[in-house]
Amino acid sequence: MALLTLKRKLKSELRLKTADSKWEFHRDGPRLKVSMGVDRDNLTRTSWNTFQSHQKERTELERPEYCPSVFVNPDTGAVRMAYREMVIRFESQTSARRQHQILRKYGLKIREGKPKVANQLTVYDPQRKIFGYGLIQTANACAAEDEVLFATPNFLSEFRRDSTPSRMPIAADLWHLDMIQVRQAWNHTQGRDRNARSVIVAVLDDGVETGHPNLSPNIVAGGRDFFLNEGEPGHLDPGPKSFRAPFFSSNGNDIHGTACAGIVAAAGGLNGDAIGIAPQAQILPIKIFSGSLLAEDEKVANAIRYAVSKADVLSCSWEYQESDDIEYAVQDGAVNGRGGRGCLLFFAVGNDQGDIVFPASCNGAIAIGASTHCNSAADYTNSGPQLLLVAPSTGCHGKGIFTTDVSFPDRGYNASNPLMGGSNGQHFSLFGGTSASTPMAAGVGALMLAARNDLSRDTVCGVFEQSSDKITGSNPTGRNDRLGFGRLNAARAVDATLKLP
Amino acid sequence: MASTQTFVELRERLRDVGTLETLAAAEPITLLTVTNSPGEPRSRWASLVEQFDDIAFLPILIDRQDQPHYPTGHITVRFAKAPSDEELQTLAVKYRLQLRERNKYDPLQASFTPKDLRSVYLPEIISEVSRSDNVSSAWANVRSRHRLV
Repeated sequence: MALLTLKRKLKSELRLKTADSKWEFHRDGPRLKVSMGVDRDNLTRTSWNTFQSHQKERTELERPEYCPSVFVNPDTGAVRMAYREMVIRFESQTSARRQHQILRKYGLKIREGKPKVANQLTVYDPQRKIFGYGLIQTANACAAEDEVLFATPNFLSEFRRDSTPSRMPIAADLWHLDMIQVRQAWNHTQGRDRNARSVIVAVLDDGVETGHPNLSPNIVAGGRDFFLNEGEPGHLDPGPKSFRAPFFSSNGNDIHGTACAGIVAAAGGLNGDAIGIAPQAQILPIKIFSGSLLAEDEKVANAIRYAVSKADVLSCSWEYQESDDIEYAVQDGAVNGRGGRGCLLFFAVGNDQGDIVFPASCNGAIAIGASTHCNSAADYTNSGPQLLLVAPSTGCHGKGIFTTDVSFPDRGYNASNPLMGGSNGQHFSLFGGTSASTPMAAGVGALMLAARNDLSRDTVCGVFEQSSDKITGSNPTGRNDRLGFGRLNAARAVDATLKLP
Repeated sequence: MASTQTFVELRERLRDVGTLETLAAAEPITLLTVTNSPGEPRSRWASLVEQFDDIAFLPILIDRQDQPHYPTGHITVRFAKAPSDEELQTLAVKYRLQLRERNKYDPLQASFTPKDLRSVYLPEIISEVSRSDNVSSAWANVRSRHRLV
């Protein structure tokens, strides 16, 4: 049902951009020069090569029938070029034969290569007759077919540029890095151990956009979609799949996991990008939820078991109804993971000003609460005896956590607002709740294991206890149920880890 | 609730018993809320089974926080020691279960389905299976709500 919603929305939006003239249509030289300024590093090789081949045909470019069509959003000035390729995703049950029938009907052929997403193909017109505005019309016609989930021109797009000038200053965006002293910890490690092996952090959530430019360098193979059965199309694709209006809401949209993953290990590297706590760690994306659909305990529990078998650290920013199966999976992972040293399973305590939620309340879970920019517990964070520590998040001075956001056009917490993370829609500056605190602690856990990968899970927890900062409301000599042992401090945690015998 | 009939057909047949709705999940759940059948859950269930012999009714399970869990009809059994194939078969025969699969990630667990789902009251069979030799615990596999925090 949710996928059908996505299809309808995409169709209508594409039409809006053309029929309602929201996108201006240019074929003149100066506009082409704007498109040529697209950052080479941020284009796929195929796109760049095809673009370069067109530069060689510069005389032909001036002929309208060969001219790539450039669209400019009059509101933001964002430039997108509808090139000759189109991306089309079929409903999962569509046979290969039917897919080919539809492609033949529109004169399209499949580009060589195995598709990264099941049932999603990159196609082109071998006759070179469909381009620009015609490509949008063809995409709309394809999208009207019952078996097509969505179809869109494969835009060369300014969404891929990182020169957007209207971004907030990076120092202000990344206040949480300073608050927990991550940069000092990076003097020792950024997530790789002395043998250059990256610590693997599994992010179990509603999917992680594996192709996100700021995450893809750190995505490790082996991601799964456990919401779907093994053998179902899409099981090997842990990316977001479900969207419904309003597209900025976690409820109904698979946008939460991408934000969590960025806090752990966004690669960073360019001015204006978010950077993770452990930018050289690797992310194992595990999808366990889809929109607001009911999930199956057995699949969630098996997703945890699978993650434990592949990863060193698990980051789980969600709550669930009590389940024996999940509780056993958490306990077993904490004891038997990492070859018997125990995986670090971080769970969010919840945002209800109440008791700690399940599974954070399980034995074996490392329960993480939220503190704020104002050095105190967040009003909303849950309390209880299971709480180990807190980590920065929303709740004071309007400050949130700057992280990655799904980059699909018009999807995500921030579609294109410069004040909410940037006009390219790839980042979000106000992510919060204990959902943000948990991957932060998971990232520090990854740094500690990178510093000393022989540590047991219990030893790591002991270091967390000793290395936390005491903030307003903390017990100066121990712990309390509101703040645990205090606030996460990456530098002290890694230092203490390195000093262990 | 499990049936081969369409939602509209079921709604028509069950009109006098209660209201019918669909809950969104990977496989949508048909939920019957009984309105005109006083008594304990067990006797309500028995009366439905007697009345409609071609429909399997699975009771919603409520946890300590009063949250509903919607059974899939499968039962997971956790053994004290990894069971042999023979042990699994013995358990299946004893309780008229069909072995679905061993858990590929946890050798202590396996899941089963009642051979006649229609005639089994899930809480009872789970309670019985839990008391078997070498069984550590057993539970109904359910679908539940999550919340991103």
